[in-house]
Amino acid sequence: MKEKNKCSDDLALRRVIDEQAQRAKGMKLSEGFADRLMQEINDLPESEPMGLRPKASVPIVRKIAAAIAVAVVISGIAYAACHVIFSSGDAPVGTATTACADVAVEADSVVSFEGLSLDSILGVVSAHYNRSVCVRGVAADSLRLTTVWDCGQPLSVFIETLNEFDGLRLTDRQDTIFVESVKVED
Amino acid sequence: MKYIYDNKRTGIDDESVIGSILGGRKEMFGILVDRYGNEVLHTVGRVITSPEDAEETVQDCFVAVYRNLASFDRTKASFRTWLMRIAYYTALKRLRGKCGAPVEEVEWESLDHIPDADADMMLNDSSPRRLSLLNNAIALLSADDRLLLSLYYHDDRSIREIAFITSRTEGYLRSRLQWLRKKLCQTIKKLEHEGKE
Repeated sequence: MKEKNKCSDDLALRRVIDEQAQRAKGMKLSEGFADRLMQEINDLPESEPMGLRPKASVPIVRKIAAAIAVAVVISGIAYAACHVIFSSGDAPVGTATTACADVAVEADSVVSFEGLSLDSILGVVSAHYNRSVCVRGVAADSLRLTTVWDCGQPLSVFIETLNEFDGLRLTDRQDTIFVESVKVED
Repeated sequence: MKYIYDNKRTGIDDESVIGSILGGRKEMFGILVDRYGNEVLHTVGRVITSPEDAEETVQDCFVAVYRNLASFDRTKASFRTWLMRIAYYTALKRLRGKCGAPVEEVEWESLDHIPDADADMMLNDSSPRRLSLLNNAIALLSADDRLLLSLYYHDDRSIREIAFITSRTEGYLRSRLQWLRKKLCQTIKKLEHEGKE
């Protein structure tokens, strides 16, 4: 038997949402809907079979161009961030296992930072999400972390991940990522 | 040509229907439309209240389903869940087009100051006054959040299933649901304070 989802019970909330959903259930597709839809499907060009991408319209082409532009910018920033780390000491102190140039080739790619400084990581991540970074009481340049970032996910997910590190507290407010230190209790 | 199917009698399962469509029997797509059309309408109708707009969204959704049918992977989700994923995105896309601006990233604000006990109490209070306030508070949420609540509370879908439909992580959804409970609590308090019921 399927168990009801529970956030405590939230009976009142569930009731209101059920009522709203019931209102939507009053809707019915108009007569001839299936015929019109099938007509539209029959009118699709034969060059547009299932599973193949539809011919891109102009706005889609623009979106793709914008995505490529963003990808180029981010990969440049990622490359620069990694380059700084690799060239800043006698020996490399950290590595990004993802080839830097690959960072934004795929919108959903997963980036693995290994022993990179927090400010380098945030440099890449904040540029991707178009955020500023404000650091308070944390030596972000000397703090080195190993973590994974899925750049297809919302920023909040990555912030949750970083907040799992002891002594760090990150928040995303007003288009800025705030980084603060928190006291770790023994 | 009329496309009329009696699904109850044909009893053909979704995967066989999809196989037939992919094999060239385009007309079989009508079975899926007939089978799920109203369910999709009822889902998008939760956030698109104009019946005409909602129906157009259903139409866009099924065209998208047809175009991407070969990419359906039954090992990841059932056809019904996959269809709901496309319906979810088609509905949000339409709403974004309407308001002219993307609402991709919903706002987070810190609600740590609201005790869990307050949220528990308010969201379980079924007095007519509180239900009315709750109704108003839900209406103030973004479409993404309202759909999330309805998938969770009304459809009783698992977090895993909702994660597939919304392309979010399970961790994100859990924290978003907790955040939404507190957000509703905060909005109710505000509405009470302003005397808007």
